[in-house]
Amino acid sequence: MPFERGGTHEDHNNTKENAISFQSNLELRLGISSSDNSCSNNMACSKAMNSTVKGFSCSTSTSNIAPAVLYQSSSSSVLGLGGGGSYMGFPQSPLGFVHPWSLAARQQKAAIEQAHHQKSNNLASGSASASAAVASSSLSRATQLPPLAAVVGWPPVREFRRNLVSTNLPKSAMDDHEKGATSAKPAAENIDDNDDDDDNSNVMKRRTESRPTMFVKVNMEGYVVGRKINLRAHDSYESLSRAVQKMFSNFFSKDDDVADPDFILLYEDHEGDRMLVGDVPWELFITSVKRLYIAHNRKMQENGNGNGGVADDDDQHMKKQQNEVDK
Amino acid sequence: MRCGGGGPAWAMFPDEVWEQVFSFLGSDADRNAAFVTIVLVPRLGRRAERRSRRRVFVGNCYAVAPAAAVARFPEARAAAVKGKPHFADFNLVPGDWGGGADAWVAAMAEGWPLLEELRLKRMVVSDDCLEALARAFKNLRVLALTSCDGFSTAGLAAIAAHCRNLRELDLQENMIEENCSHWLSHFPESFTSLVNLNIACLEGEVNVSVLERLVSRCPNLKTLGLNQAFPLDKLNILLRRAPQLIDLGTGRFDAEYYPELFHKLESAFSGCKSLRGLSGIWEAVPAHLPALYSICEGLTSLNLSYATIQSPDLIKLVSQCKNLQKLWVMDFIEDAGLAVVASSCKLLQELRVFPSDPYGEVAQPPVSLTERGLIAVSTGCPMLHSVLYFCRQMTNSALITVAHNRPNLIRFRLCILEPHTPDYLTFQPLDAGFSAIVESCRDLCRLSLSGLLTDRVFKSIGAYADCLEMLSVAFAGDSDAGLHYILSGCKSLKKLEIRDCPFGAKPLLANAAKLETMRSLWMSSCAVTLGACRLLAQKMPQLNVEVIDERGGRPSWELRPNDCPVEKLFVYRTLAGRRADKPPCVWIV
Repeated sequence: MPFERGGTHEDHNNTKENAISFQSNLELRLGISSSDNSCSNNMACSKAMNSTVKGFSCSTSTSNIAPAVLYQSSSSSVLGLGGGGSYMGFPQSPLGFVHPWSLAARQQKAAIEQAHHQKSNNLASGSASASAAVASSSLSRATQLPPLAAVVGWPPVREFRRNLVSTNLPKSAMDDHEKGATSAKPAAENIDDNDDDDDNSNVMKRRTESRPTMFVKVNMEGYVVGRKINLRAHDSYESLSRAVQKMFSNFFSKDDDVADPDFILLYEDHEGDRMLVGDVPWELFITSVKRLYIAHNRKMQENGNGNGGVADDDDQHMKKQQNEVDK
Repeated sequence: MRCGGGGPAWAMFPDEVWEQVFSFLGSDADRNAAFVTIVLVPRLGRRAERRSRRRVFVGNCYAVAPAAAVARFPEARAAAVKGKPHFADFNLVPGDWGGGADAWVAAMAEGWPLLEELRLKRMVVSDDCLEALARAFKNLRVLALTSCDGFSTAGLAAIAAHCRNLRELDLQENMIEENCSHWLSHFPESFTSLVNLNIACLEGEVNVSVLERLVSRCPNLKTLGLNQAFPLDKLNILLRRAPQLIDLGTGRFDAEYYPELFHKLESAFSGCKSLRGLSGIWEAVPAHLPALYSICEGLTSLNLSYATIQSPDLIKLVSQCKNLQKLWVMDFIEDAGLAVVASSCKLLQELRVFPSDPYGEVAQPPVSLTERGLIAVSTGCPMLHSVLYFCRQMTNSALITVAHNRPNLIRFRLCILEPHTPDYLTFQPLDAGFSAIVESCRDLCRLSLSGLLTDRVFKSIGAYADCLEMLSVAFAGDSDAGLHYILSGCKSLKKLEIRDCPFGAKPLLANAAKLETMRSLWMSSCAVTLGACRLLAQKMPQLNVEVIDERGGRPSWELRPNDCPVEKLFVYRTLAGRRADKPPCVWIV
């Protein structure tokens, strides 16, 4: 199923032709154009970079950060954000349309993952420069080393140790944020209704084999077919928002008559609750998110009846187009 | 201290003396040495050995045919068998490599119907196998499965239902499919003999009331290892039912804090006057930790390696554990915490510090755990003999200090997370540091190396590590000389595992006879060629030379040229010849 493979698709040969005709068709209909905005992700990038070159007395780390960030900003064609605010709403008017299967989309995905990869490469090359004083052939081996996360079986820890902390932040961080959320729940859970379901969070923690990727499902309200997005490829809400927008922008109703429907981004956490994206720090969000939802912001829709009707018609049309493309 | 190769002089004694010698050899380790000698010199003392041997230990399930082992020791009551190579723990061994327990259980069922204890490690155990052993061994008292896979909770249900005399069910770090959540209910109401139940590796929830009833009717229960899914607010119930517990593995230590829960926990723990070992403590909420304070003084073993607690809270807990002998903890403890350990836990013998973020994936400030923590415990804990330490930086000077402080080390495993990391102050390789360790710690029997290392360190190890039985090497060395030093020295070497080192197979050929004195050799991502393996196999018929290649679409091994690189090599001595169950990814040269 084409939609089950992350933000963009590498091997879509059989659907490429359909995609291209679909794209040009849609572009004509929608009368939109793409625009380039610079990446506001620099801070998140550097932060992520810094966290991995710790522990080394290598002075090269700072100089290695800049190129990677520049690379990301120049090669990404990014939609602007409709302001941060307290919730992740989509912008009033989509500024650009990039078909998910287009070359530009694939490049953008590659850019994001390159930056991620770069981060790990800096680590390897940093250690090589630190040992420059040693006249040893092991130097060349160090530079050839793949990123740490890609070296199978290293460091020598059991698989379950991989997920212990990534899904369980040190408790001092968790307490501040999660206490509010869980205070509503009485501690007297009824343990005795032992339905066969495993505690989802535990199963996910132990069996999540995908590092450094973490694909979660993204479902758009009203659509049967969902998508998947790699949360590990993003360092912040901004980045995630852009990626999700790109993914689903062709599902918007684009009629000019319609006041653009407001969509909100929700997520399902490890306890099964549906939450608004954006309240907690990104790192905490990552540990508890299990899937994403794009829902209509009902308040906005209620304001104008016409919106609902027209949107529905367009939605049906989109669905039909989508189904054709799927084949 | 028993070390060095077995001398042949004692093989000359008459059988009566053999009989006495063997019944004095209590531990598996000592007996294993005797076993090896017997295997290689089959004519001596065979009868005596057979009569007296009650405990059989098979370090490599392919070293001997199950039927042969069973037939040789007809009076055996306890058996331990190990399967896959150690690196299987880190996903380096293909899942279908082997290590199946079926043949062993079948042979044991046939020849050892009175078997009381069975311990399997890194083996593939099927549900059918569990069912078979549950029915075959009426006297089974101990079943311990460590790092095994291939079975489900349905198999455990069979064990529960049929093993009427079971005392210990110890499941450690297995991959268990959970398709039968009520397996615990299969222990009949008449079953009261449980002494040890460890289900920590299960992920699903177990029925609390079933567990409570089981615990209540087993008055001899000494060890209880709950799993992460077990809720904190039910823990006090179990503790009240089993205040005689010696070892407890809690479930998750995370629940919304409220005073009543805390007081219930606190008073339940203080009722457990015999508690000596504590583990579990998943997802710990610091607010609940003080409930443990009452038992800290009595603890000799504390495993906090799943507890994502920060240093200050860890310190508060550990500083009260004056009698601790074994401490497993995450690197959250930091240097400061280890300094407290060093001053509070004077009886500490074993320390393991695990990495909280082994792959550098979690974007948070790095923990401050460095060589200083290691120095602190080596200085402050005079009885420290076993160390496993994951960290990000090290110096030769620190290792030299550790070596001088603790010549009594017998296990030293250092893992610097980033390969090829040099001394961060001098940028030198860590040869000098590790050399100091082997020169000073003459009883060292297990060593794991890491960091930037040249052939020099191997020269030292080969020369000084006379008692070394297991050596793990990764991303180290410059040339074949490194491996040659090891194989031509290290008199007691039994297990050698190497990955990502520039070692070819020449040292193997030059030291082929050495390989027959060892249990096994693993080499992956080194510079081994198929031709060398062919030569080795030809030269040493008592070795199985297994080459492993998981990638498909290549020509069959017979057709490949001699210079074809071998990605993974596993060599082991065997009396059983080529194994019949080899998978497609393995070729026995």
